[in-house]
Amino acid sequence: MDTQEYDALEIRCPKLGHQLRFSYCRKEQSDLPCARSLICWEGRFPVSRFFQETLSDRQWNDCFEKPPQSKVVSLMELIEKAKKAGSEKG
Amino acid sequence: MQQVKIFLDESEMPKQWYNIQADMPTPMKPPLHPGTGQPVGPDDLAPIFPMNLIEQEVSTERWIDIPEEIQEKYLLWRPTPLVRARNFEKALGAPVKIYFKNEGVSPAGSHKPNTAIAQAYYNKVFGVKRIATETGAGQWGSALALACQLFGLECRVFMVKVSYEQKPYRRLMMNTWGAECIPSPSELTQAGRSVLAKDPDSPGSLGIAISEAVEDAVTHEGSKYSLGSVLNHVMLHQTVIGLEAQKQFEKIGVYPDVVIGCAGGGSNFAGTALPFVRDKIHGKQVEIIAAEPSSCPTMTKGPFTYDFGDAVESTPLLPMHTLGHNYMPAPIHAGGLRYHGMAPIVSQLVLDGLVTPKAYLQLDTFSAGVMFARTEGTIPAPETDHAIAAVVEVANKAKEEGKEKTIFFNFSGHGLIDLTAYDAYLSGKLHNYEMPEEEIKRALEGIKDLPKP
Repeated sequence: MDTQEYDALEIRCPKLGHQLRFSYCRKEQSDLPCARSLICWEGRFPVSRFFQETLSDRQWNDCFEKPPQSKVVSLMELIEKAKKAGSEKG
Repeated sequence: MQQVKIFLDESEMPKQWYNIQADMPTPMKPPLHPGTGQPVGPDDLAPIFPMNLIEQEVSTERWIDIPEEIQEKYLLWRPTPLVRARNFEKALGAPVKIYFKNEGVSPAGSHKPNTAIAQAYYNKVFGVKRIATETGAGQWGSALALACQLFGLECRVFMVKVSYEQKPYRRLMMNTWGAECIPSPSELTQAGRSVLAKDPDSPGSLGIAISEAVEDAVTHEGSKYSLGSVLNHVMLHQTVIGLEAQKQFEKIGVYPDVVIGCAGGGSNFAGTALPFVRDKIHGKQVEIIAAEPSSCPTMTKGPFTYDFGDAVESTPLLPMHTLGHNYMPAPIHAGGLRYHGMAPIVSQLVLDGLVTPKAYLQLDTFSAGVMFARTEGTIPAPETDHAIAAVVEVANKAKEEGKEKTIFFNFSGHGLIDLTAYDAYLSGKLHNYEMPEEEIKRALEGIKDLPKP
């Protein structure tokens, strides 16, 4: 199968709660796939091999190797970002 | 005629939520602020949550009173029935008694309003005028829209754009309940505008929608943020499920051998299970299973290794992730609990051996859900199907062993606004991938020298 064929495959996304195509998962974080892509898709096609071939080592690390952040910590970061956005807006 | 439903009188509805933080064998540690490196404190959360909810987030009080105003709103659909699934039992042909708590009877169709109502109330008494949140398919957004309407609050829901387009009925539920539902990324926030500047056709993501909702709360006077899972106060509010169930079981003189809930962010699982976890901590024999989605059969079969580098135990996702790489595969908890943002309380209970996570393949979950629908009538939400798949597994094991079991699971929501998922299953669009034997062997060879548990 090639990328186009994989892109057409559908799955139920546990994050969003509805059917989605791999084309969405592949770019969920803009230049990176969704961090759940391996766990969601590995039973459907060899997705780890696919990303090993299509992502750089840095991208693979950024997406799949970094330990996930706790919710509270990610909210802290968003609060800081939002405060900055608010002050720039004046 | 044999009894099917066990009801509680409205006066018997629990008057307090149960806080597992009072009893956890390993107390929860506060996360560290990324900026200061210090434990996150109440003031750090104050820009997005009212202080009364922050107090619940950090509380170690065992019982927290449910205000009367919240109880009054709960009465719109609570107490929910405990139902004996006699037809499902017959179809399974196993020596089991199966009970489920039907949370699908809420106006939003799931357990989500249990915390949405509570959060709307606490925001209201704190003087908040508007609550912002994010949602994917809309289960959470619609629950919060309902709750805000009931307490006279404005509600702004940033709905991931791809979901906004795919799930019009949930969006319409939100509008009917008076909420603004905005496709994300939007022009309303800096976070949304910067995404749109790079990609005007962006389908959005939960990450972007969360950024927008938080920014909306932080930058608008009188506005706060709300979320439907993961955090401690959400788990607390959801315990009304398990507490009611315990009262209902007491009425019929039954105590379950197995308690099962599906686990995404952890809220319905925690709500169902935590009162039973309390009993287990005090010596009760009860198995507690968190049923998760997986497309990875080898996760449950392959060898695991453990890395105690941080507070949460982690295991390689799959042997196959070693293919072609010299470094260790991404450490992901068996069942993906930590990886996909499971509630810290639930993750810790897994580490403490009080909760067992189990992963179920998509096809097996839909198969279980369809079997349930064809015997009991109610069509489960696809998430709920994971709990039902776990029930089927436990029942089949009981049949093999010839042992009687009483199984209790949470029917977390109905699937009537999610029938496209069943359409994909029934029309054969979903299928499993069978990993070739030589690839499995190669992957296992790659991790054979790693420490075993």
